[in-house]
Amino acid sequence: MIHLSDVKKVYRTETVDTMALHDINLKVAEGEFVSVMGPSGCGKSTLLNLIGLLDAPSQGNISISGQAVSSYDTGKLARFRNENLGFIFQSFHLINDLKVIDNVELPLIYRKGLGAVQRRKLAETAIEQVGLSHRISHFPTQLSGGQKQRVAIARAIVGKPRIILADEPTGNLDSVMGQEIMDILLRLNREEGATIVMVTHEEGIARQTHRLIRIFDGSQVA
Amino acid sequence: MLKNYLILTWKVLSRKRFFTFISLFGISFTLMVLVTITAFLDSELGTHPPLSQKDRITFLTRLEMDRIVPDTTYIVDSTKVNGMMRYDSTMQIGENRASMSRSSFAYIFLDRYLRDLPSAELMSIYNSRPSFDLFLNGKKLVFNVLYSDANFWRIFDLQFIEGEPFTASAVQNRIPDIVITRAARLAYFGSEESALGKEIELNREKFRVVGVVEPLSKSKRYAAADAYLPLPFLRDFSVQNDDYFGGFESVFLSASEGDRALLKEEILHKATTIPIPNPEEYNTIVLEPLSLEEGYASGIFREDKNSLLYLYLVFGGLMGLFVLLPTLNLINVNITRILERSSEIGVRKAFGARTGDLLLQFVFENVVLTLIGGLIGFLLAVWLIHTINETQVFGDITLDFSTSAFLYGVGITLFFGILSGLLPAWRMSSLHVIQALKQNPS
Repeated sequence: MIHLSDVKKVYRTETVDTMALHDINLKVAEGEFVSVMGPSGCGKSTLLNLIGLLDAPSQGNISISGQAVSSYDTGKLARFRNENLGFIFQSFHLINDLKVIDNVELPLIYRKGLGAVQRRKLAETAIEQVGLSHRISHFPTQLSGGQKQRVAIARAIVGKPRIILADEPTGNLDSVMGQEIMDILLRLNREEGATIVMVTHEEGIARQTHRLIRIFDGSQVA
Repeated sequence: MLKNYLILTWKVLSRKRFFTFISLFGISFTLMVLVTITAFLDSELGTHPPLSQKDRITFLTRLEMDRIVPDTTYIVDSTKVNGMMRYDSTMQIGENRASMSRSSFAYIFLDRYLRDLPSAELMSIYNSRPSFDLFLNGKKLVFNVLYSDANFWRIFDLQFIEGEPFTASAVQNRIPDIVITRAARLAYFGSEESALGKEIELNREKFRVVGVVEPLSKSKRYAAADAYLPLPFLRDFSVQNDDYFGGFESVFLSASEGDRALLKEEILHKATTIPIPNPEEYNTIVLEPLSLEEGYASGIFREDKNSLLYLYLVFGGLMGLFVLLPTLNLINVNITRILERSSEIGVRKAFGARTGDLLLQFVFENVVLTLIGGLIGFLLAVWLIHTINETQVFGDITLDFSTSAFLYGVGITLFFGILSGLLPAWRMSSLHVIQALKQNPS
């Protein structure tokens, strides 16, 4: 499903080149739930950004579902992300000015061929899946951290993407809330067949996934 | 998507109320000033009665007689060559105006020298409005009277409430017909009832009212008066002598705007052929045919040759300034407003928004802001124009709210509104998604 071969990422400034990732060779199968662990600054988030097509590798190839996406232009990448990828961020990144339903609907407004009624229906279903139907008209500022992350998950799954990329989704939550979020992700993987790549710091959370990838100093060590 | 944009726009505008207030104030104030200035210019220089034929009209109101004398200037340059001073002198031969007289024309001058110019379809000669004091029922009335020929009514289309202008035959046969204004009718007869056929006594002569017109503001000095009389009632108006100066002005109507340019040339050429009655005193005749705008500008800028250019620069500069200041303010406010939303930009990009989508969103917000500002500006402009008319700040000039001027104003504001949003929107929508996500997460 996801295939990274000889991927290297270098951050260049005028004076310094920083090697963030090198020689990453990674395969994630369809329906797999993979967690990525490693110390701070080791390149976990960079890896996730590369898989999520939010950043381009300095070297190497990335293909998703057999498509060589690393050669796509920005317009094609945007469309590919919209149709195939869902993102969950540690700090939620919800738009405080929009209600829960409008936040969840956001990815769908950039998808061609979807009417307002259809978008609203899909958003309601996604919110129901994360158990927040009673908060549909609330604003993010009226929600707890766990609820915000559930809204973020609903937003990530509303477009029925084949891959969900989660960057420390439980990082800002206490253990109970964190487990609740993990349970939702596990269910999505199990019942919906979603392929999930998750960056985490928590060993206990990582152990619940199918496979653990360890990154150290920009290299894959396990 | 539009609904989403609308919701977001409303939220963004209500979230930063102070910024929104500043932006709206800038837009609406600009629009109010633009519409009021335009209304003023339109009232003074627009193509409507009594100047519906404005673009074909040429005014000739002043005769200038100059004594031009040669003026020689010597310029001496000194240079040191091999320790010796060398002098080099240059002589410049020019002209200088030693004396000058300027006034309106004698009737006979206009009639004799400018009556049959090829590019003039019509010519009218009228005088410079003497005023008469009338005592009516113990009350003093002052009537400014304009004496004219019949062509005056064919060139200036004053709006008749009743009746009609006096005819060429009335002028030729010295028939005592009079046209008065609505205000004069009310002042003289004490009512708004028809005055047609009624008599008015002016300067110990009785005149029969043949027409009543809407009054003009005093700023329209070329045609404004309380009463209009045929020229022959002005004593000795066509006295034959060699004095070129007098109390008359003239106006010409050309067949087209192009003919007006030719007419100007003809008048300027004519000035070189007219005999000078007292060559020991003057040796040059200067005629200055002017369009309405040129005449207006020369009145403000003391008859300088570049007065029309100055007029355009002053009004253009003022209007430009009034547009530029809020635009700069809007750019500033927009940058701040959009910078705060980098996280939102990051999320939207991550979920598939393209630069164009985001650009559209931010420009949409600006358009909504500008339209709200436009609505407030419309209300303010209506109020200001009403207040100016009520308080007569500009004397008896009446400003009319011009829908087209307002729409142009909205167009200009919208243009600058979009422009002011485009730059920051382009910058922010081009932001790299990761960089955007790292800033102010919500």
